Amino acid sequence: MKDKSQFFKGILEGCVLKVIHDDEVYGYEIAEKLKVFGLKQVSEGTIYPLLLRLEKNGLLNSKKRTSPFGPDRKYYTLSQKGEDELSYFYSNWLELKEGIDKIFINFKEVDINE
Amino acid sequence: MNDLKVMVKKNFENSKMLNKENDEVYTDIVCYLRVSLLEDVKTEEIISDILDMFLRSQEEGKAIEEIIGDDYKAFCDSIIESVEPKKFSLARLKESVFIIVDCFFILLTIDLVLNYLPKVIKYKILSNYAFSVSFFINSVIIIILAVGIVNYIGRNSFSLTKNKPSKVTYFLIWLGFVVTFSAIIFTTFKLSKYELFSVNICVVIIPVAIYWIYKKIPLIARAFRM
Repeated sequence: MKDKSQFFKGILEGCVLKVIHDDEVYGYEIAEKLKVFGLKQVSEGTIYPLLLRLEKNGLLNSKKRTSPFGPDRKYYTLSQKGEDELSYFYSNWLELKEGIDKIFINFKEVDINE
Repeated sequence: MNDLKVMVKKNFENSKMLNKENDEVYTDIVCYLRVSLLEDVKTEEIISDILDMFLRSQEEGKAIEEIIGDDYKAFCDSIIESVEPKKFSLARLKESVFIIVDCFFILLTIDLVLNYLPKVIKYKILSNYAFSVSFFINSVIIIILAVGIVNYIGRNSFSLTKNKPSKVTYFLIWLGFVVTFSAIIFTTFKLSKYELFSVNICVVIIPVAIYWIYKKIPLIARAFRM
């Protein structure tokens, strides 16, 4: 996953912010939720560095909770700055999506299986 | 015990639950992160998070590669990169100073026991303590060597596990040790008679005693609680 583009990283970041916005979650839960939504290649290991960076930049708050496996787990919530970033990401995304949809409006998908 | 020691101990205790295969990878990761530019407390926090990933993958019967990928070094580097540690930080400087102070007191204690104590027993007087040239030179050699070895192993933890060091490497390590020990023995015999300065023995004994009591307070406290 590490050679995926900066573009994908930015989108993944937006998705992670949204998942944390919905619920107080820890790293593994975030990866599982993203997988359920269809981001299949995402694993906890891909998300962890991203969480560290978001936390460092003040977008996340974290709280330690005990876990059944031993080490305490870090649960994340969004800070005000994180909420702002999420709204900013979403409005950018809508704009981009609209543009791309327009470009592809008359495009017929070729079925690769045929 | 301070926070850092508690964190290190907790991580160590929890890591005992790892199976042999995971423990090997985990140990390499720990070595690599501990000599990185990250500050100690941050490092232990990250190690605790990684340990949680390991233990859960083990519980679910998944291979750790499914979680962190098969390039462990790249995984660690991506972590270090996201924390963006500064090249110079006051906390890291403090950590280094503490390590040097620790080494110095340990070496001073050894010198007291091996060089000073026999004289006291032999002549039955408490003479002044002389800081010799050899003591300082040897201390510098030993501290540089110790820090060098720890850093070398940490930085190369992944490749050292994967490929056994070559015969040339073994020879160089062996040569390094021979040269170092020769240097230490040489300075001890040739330079120990040159003293830099000497001080009243109390000036040495009291700080050394305070140092060891301070270091062993957790142990002493535990003994009293029992």
